[in-house]
Amino acid sequence: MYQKVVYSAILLIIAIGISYYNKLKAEKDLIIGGIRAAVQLVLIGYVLHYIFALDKLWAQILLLFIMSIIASHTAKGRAKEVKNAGFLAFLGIISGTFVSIGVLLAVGFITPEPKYLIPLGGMVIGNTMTASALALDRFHSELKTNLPKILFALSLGMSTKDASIFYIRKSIRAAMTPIINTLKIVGLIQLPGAMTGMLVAGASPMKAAMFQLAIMYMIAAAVSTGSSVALLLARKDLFYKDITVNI
Amino acid sequence: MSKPVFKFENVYLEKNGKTILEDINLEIFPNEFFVILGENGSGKSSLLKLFNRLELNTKGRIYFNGEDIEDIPIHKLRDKVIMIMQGATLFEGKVKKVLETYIKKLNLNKTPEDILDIMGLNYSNLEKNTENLSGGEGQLIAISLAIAKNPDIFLLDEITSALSITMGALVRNKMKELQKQGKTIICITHNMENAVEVGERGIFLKDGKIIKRGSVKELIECFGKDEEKCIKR
Repeated sequence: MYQKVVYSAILLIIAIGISYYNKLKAEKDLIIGGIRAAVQLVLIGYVLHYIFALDKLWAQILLLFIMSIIASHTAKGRAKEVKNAGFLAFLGIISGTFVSIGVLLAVGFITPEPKYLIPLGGMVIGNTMTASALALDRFHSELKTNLPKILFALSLGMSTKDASIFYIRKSIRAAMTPIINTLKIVGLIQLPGAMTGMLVAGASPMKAAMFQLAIMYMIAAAVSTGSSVALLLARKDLFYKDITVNI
Repeated sequence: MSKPVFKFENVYLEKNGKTILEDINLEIFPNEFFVILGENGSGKSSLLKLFNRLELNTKGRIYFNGEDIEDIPIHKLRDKVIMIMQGATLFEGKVKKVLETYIKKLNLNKTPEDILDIMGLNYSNLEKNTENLSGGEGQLIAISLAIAKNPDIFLLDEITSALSITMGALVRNKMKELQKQGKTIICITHNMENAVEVGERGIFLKDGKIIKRGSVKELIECFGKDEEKCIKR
């Protein structure tokens, strides 16, 4: 198995070769990215091996918590102009994960076992991170671009909630666009990751498809919850009390 | 003399470690047409925003009708003091729908047609998108919305700059009419004819400081002069 994985590095070498031939200057990034991916995946493999063997709920929650912190740090880098973006994204990620995984647990679709909680939690955290960062960045830029409109609305006596709701909606919609588009084309162009993994592992195609469907719904719920929570909290930061814009 | 509607006492505004306004002392009296003049970047718009707390002073006190504005609930202050800015200030969308939103959120007992009537705008504008209105049309609708709220004080930030001569005259006349009705007008303008025609008293700002007070004609002399020369005159 390990030897075969090493052989798969030929694929990375092909990508590096194409970059060199076309003078893309992406060779260094591909090499660093390839090595980082290998180190990260091996490390997470060891950690998961330990957690699966331990089979304790607290260990699984702790791992998801750490993943959320790393994800919020990444989100902070993507929404640089937003004050406290990391913390806001963290709260978005936590709430998105809690709601989506919570519903799947409540309806009995999954049980609190490492084989479900860790991979599904990882998917939710990754997607909510991207959505929260996108929503925060978009909201900040909408506020900046439309500052005269918001100030005029506030000046007329509108609350900060009413003056900004249009831009909150726009930003959440922007954050949800990728999952909405994926929902529309899933299975038509490519098989998604979880379904592919299940098929490779020998699951029946119908079982893999049903599992994937639940995952897509889970991501939709997580992304909308996470980006909404992050934005509603960001509004408190970006407006001074109910008085004026603070950017 | 009547009591001032606005009184600024040693007011400062600092942002990101930079002083925007310095030691502003000012009194505005009821029913005045007060003009704020100054070069670009002198702090005029920031000063105007302090009147209805779109900017928040970092030092000093501002009193509205004798009460510290920090103690006045913001919606009560903005019921009485409204600022109109230059440029596109209306939300995006079809004018009719946008006006319905403002009417609903601001509890105005009016229809979109009533709003357009205030400045004599054509009802055909209701079917346009706010982004497709001319600068002048958008500005007149914003002015109409402010008038519909019936405040006591209008803060005007260069509102005639995007208007044609005809529209500019229309706005000037409307403002004079409002003053006759007892309203107080505080305005920034770069149009000196405008300032002389409507303004009575005012201040000249330079680098965030008031360097001269007086009649509009006296203040206009300060343009292009340094502080010392301006004060000597």
